[in-house]
Amino acid sequence: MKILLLSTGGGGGNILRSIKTLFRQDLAAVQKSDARYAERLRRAVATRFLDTNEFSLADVPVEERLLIGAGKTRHLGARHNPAVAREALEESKRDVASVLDDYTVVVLIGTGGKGTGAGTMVPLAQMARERRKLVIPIFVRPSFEWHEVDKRRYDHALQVLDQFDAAQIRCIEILNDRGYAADHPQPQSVVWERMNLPIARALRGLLYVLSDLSQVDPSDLSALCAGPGRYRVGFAEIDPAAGEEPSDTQIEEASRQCWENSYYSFTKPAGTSLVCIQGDWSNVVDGRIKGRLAAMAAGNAAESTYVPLYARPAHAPRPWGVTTLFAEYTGNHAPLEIAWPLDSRVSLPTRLQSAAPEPVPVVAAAAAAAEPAVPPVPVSAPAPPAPAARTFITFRDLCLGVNRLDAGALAIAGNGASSTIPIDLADLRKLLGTVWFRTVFTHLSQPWRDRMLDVLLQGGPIPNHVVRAGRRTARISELTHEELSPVPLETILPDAVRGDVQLLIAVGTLWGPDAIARFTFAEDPEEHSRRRFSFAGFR
Amino acid sequence: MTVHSITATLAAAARTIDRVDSTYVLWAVLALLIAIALRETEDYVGDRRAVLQLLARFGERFVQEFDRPLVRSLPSERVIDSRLRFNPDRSRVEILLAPREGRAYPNLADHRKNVEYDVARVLRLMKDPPFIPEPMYAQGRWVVVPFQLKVNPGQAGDK
Repeated sequence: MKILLLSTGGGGGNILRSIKTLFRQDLAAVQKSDARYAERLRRAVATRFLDTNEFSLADVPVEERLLIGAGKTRHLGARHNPAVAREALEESKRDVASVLDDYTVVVLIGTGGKGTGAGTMVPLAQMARERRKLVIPIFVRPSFEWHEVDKRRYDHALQVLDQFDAAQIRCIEILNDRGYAADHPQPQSVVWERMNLPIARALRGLLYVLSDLSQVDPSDLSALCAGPGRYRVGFAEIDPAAGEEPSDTQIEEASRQCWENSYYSFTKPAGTSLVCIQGDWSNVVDGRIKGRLAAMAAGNAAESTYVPLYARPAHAPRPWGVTTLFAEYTGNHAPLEIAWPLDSRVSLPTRLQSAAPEPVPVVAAAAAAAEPAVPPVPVSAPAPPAPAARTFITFRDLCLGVNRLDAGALAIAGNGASSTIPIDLADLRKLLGTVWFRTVFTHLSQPWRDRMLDVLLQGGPIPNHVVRAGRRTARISELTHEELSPVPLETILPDAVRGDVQLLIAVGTLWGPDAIARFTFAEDPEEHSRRRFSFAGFR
Repeated sequence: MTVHSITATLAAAARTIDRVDSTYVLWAVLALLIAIALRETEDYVGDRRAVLQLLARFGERFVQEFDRPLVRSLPSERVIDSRLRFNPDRSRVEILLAPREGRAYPNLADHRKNVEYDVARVLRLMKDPPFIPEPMYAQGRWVVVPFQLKVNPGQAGDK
């Protein structure tokens, strides 16, 4: 799983430079406590500066430049004209698309002040959406009151925000006006750092969540990003003394810092939101943090719309803290279709594993493919099998252990024949619907795979739903794996039908297309009842 | 009817008028004048009310749209102070705008071009209302934006 930080235009470039510097500072702090973890974080994030003006990228490394519109602008800029910038993007669409294709998450950064940022933010976000990327646009509404731009350009920035809303693309809206306090003036660099720090620090939390999708379902993340509205990123460091719990004051302060961030526009109640807690303290502290955040997010509303998704890395290296991504509640929206990668994840090892005694140099496959110039990163070899079988009571527990590359779990996964861990059909169906399980599957031995397939086959017949595949309508038993695969993406299906179709697709992907033919199909009960009341019987 | 009989009738009428108390005549004339004055006043007040309504409605919409795009903490929060000053006899309204505490906009000292742009923007959004903007000026903390109604209220679709 890799994140692309893509800036567009001069203003966006400045913000990205700032975020990059802050992220490097964060990495330097992580480096002190866990060098391998820091290296993985470094590899998971890439930066690119898109612009129409070659001169504004003079200080950017050549490999990070993404110049667009050579014909339209001769690389001399968009002349403060968003329409020119849009045409320049259109001209270089293929180049930009090829960059986007390498990443799962695209954080897009631009300002609404002049030409390139204002003209390309929405088209870029739409491009990324079309390519089924998770897009988080960060758009700066400039200040005209403090003479950053004139009112006309400020209004144009508002139009860009309206376009985001119309396109149902949620974004982070930074209000530059809030950076000016007449009663407490600060240098611009200090204000920018305050505005950008939460974004830079939140990256670590976001990376953790994305690299270990066993804690937050991808479908929940897709739901969080769906619909129009605004996000608010929050970050607070909690640094208790060694061996001590954070104090109530520290917890209160951190929760408040995460919730109250006046630089970001956020006017509606909080909806589905992400909370990532990183620190080796007790679950009581976790509970207090969650409770304070929930109290602030719910406010005085009688019916709260706040739905938190919690992620909790075990043994996260310092600096510790809380990362939040709150999303405004703007109604219920269908989850986005995101192409979550199956094999190219950059998983973040826990400190316990990285502290294994004899590290062996290995190159992470995905990272090596994308960045061949980067030297191999040492990853710890699995420790010898530990007598931990008793800790995996259910099959799901075992899979979570395998996903964490737990040595005990890996040992059991390699020897399924003698294991007594039961496989529950409902659990297995849920697991097959998750992205992270596909990586786990590669660690499971053939006896495990056979047992799993047997459980699925013995679970009774699958209703033979009628679905639309391309231009024809067919029963799912009549479709091949290849024909079934696009069905959930191209049609809106009832939950029950979607679940069955996705199960068959997962089986076809993991056990091969022929495995689908081993299922038995029963008449769809809904179809049966529909037919009872139709005139078909009179024909 | 002969000339003689006509003369006799007129003479009889004259004798009857002679007999009517002149006080009644005066009261009747006064009542008539009051009725006419009331009617005129009613028309005047009606017109004035219509003009005032038109001016007030325009002023309120103008302020609302002027305020709408400005940065605020809550959607319901007002970020500018405003007043309306009417002169219905001259079909004129003056919209007074001033920044709230801690804000800088609107003012003519360093935002004249932005205010001019905003006035034109709001008028465009209001789809060419029957008002002509006049040169704006500053009065204390207020920016005064005068408008002259260019047609009568009836033509403007009011009343």
